[in-house]
Amino acid sequence: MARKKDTGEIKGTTSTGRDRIGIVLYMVNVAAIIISILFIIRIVKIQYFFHPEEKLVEMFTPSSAKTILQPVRGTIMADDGSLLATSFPSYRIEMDPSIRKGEFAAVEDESLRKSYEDTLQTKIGRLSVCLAEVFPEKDAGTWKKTILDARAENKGNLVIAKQVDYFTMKQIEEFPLFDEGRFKGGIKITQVPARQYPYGALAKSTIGSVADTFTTRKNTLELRYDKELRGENGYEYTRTIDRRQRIQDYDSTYRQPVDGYDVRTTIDIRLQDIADRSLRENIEAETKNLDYACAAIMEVKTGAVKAMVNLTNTDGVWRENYNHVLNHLGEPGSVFKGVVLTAVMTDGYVKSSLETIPIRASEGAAVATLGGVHGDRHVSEYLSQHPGDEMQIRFGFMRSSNYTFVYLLDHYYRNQSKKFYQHLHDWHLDDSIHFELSPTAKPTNRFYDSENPVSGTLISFQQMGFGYTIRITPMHLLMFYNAIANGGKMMNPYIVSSIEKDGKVYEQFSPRQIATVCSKEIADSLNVTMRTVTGGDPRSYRGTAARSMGGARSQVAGKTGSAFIYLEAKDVPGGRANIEGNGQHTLDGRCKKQATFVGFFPAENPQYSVIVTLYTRLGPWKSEFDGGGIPALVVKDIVNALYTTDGFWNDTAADGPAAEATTLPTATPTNDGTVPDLKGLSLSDALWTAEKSGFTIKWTGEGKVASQTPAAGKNEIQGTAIQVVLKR
Amino acid sequence: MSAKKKGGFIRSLFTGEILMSMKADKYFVHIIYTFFLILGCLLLGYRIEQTFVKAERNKATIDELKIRNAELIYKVEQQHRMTKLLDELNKEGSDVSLPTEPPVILKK
Repeated sequence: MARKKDTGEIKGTTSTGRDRIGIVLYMVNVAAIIISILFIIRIVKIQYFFHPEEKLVEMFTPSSAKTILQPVRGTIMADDGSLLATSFPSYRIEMDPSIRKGEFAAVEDESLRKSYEDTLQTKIGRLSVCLAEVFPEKDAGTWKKTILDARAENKGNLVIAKQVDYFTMKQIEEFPLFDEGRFKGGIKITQVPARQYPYGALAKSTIGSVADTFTTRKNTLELRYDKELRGENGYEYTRTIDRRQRIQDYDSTYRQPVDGYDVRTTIDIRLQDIADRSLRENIEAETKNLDYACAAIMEVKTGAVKAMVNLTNTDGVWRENYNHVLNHLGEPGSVFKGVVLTAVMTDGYVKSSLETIPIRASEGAAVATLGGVHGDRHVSEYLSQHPGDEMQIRFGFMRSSNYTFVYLLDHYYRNQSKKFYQHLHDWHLDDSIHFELSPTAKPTNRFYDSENPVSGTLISFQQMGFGYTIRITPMHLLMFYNAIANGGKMMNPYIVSSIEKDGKVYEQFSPRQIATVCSKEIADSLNVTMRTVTGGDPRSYRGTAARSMGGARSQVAGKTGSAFIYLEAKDVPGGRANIEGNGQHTLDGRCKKQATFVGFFPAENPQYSVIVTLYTRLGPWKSEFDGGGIPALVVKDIVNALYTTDGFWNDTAADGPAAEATTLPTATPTNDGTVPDLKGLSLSDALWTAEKSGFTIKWTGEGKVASQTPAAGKNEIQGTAIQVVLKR
Repeated sequence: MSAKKKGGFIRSLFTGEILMSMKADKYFVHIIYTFFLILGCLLLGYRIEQTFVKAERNKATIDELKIRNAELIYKVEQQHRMTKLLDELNKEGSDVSLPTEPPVILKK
């Protein structure tokens, strides 16, 4: 009871105030509870029963988009790390010419609207002046008209430039109007992945381009090493946060892109530049006469290709778009005589090029192939100074006598042609050369049947003596002559030295010997013989390249060669009816030729081997399109440029004036049976001097001649072997 | 929970005494601690996002610098070509050309 009373008292004393406040608070509380319940019902409904349209879901769901991360394509480098091909983006610049048009249209006050539009057009005028400075192909007036016309037509996009570099892009960003940004200034900048070639067209047929993947051009570094250079794509998921910024979504998976490997080549950019310049300068004016021209330089000891120039006459412009050095099969002409001479010396049929061959009017080979010995004018040339019935092989090589080499091939191999073909096989002259870019074209022989090596007509076999019927690439010839320069060791040509990434080498390619062409002694003897081609004996005849090589700063050994290209009906106006029976000339005497100089330098200590080949258009015969003409001139220019810039010749000037190219070894040969003084000479010079004096040489050691037996000045029977000891 | 307790709970819900009935005052420190913990988490989350934004911006800057560097190297390489140098010298009328003799090394 008491409690009831107490309660009643309390109620009694506070009833008015509590009721008022209590009721309000109670109502607020009830309202909050009702709202909460409604919220809970709504949440449950949305969560479990509501199925919105997909478009709405897309709009309201925080986006987490997958982005493909592009790797950086690897770099192609020269041997010293110079960039031949690298990757960084270009920028595409676009503009929205209708910028703020809608905003201005919404302004009701016409004078104000006109004022806004005038201000914008003034800015467009200033922008046009700046654009004309960067892109002068349009003047400021034209730029302004272009933009305003696009604005009048309500175009939303106007391309300002398809590809500009970073610095130009930054400059454009600061132009009037564009400096107000994308939404007010209308500028739109897009990054475009791009492959860059700092040296432009230099070695382009070797380097290639990324587009080669989609073209038929196959012998390029970009294509051959595409897998290594390309790298692997990565990906990341990004999400949008406040203020439309996107960040990586770290709750999702992420794969880092793997950048491509770098390819280091053996190309020496300085040599490439020299070869390119020398070739272009010499053929610049010949766009009406030449179809193609190519040059290659190889490092003698390793077979590393240091330069490769391939020029194709495309509508009067020399372009690097096809690799002739690797792909162009052609009958090499007299440069093949070096192969024949090496074969007869290797087989021991000829001990020295100082030996002679008989000149017989009835010589079968000559009659069949040349129409008689005097079908070769060099025979008469020799006989005029050396009456008799013998001719020196060295003279035949120096003057490029067809009779000499038809005789040698016919005399020694007519009944054992398989033996000669075996040499060609052993020296890799009958098959593609394994080369990183792709194997070279495979040599062909118009008559030779690999299944039946003795087939083919006799004449065609004899014609091989001066480089017809067999078709090989310039790279085959260079590889062969490089072997002679390298003491008989044939090196496989290569152009990629390593695959790297961030300076770390992942794969290294080393020089590889693939054959031994001949002994060092024979190679040295051939070296001496080849020097006569660029020099010769001033007392008698000079070599076929002596005139062009005059003034060369370093002595070159080599061989010239010119061959008629067999005419096809499609090459000649009037077709087959206008071609002579031999297939080499038109009825009015025009012809197409392939002219080559191949050799190595400095002859006394070969460092580089070189080949230059020209392919003429149908036209009258001209001596400058022979191997001793433009090709030899190109080689001389290369040699002279290298003489002053290549480390090998450092300090040469300190030793005195540079030797003239045509100067032969300084020791004086004897011809009266007196042993010449060979001390201080290199082996090849000693061989030349001894052979010229009628002696042979046997040697031990390396370097220069330190002692000789018998001593200089003694009288000995010619043919005696002089024992020399070489020391460094 | 008994029916009486259930009734008391519902009543306290409507009278606004729910927290007191749950004896929240006893755990006041914990509640405040939890409150600041959640607040800290939210702030940290926000800061982390801002750091990511900054990282993305820096990444873009680094990429831009890389491009700038690659372009500068590219321009140097372009100028490095001997033929180009000779052409430039020739255009400027300079007498400087390729050396006529190999270099002499004075000291090794």
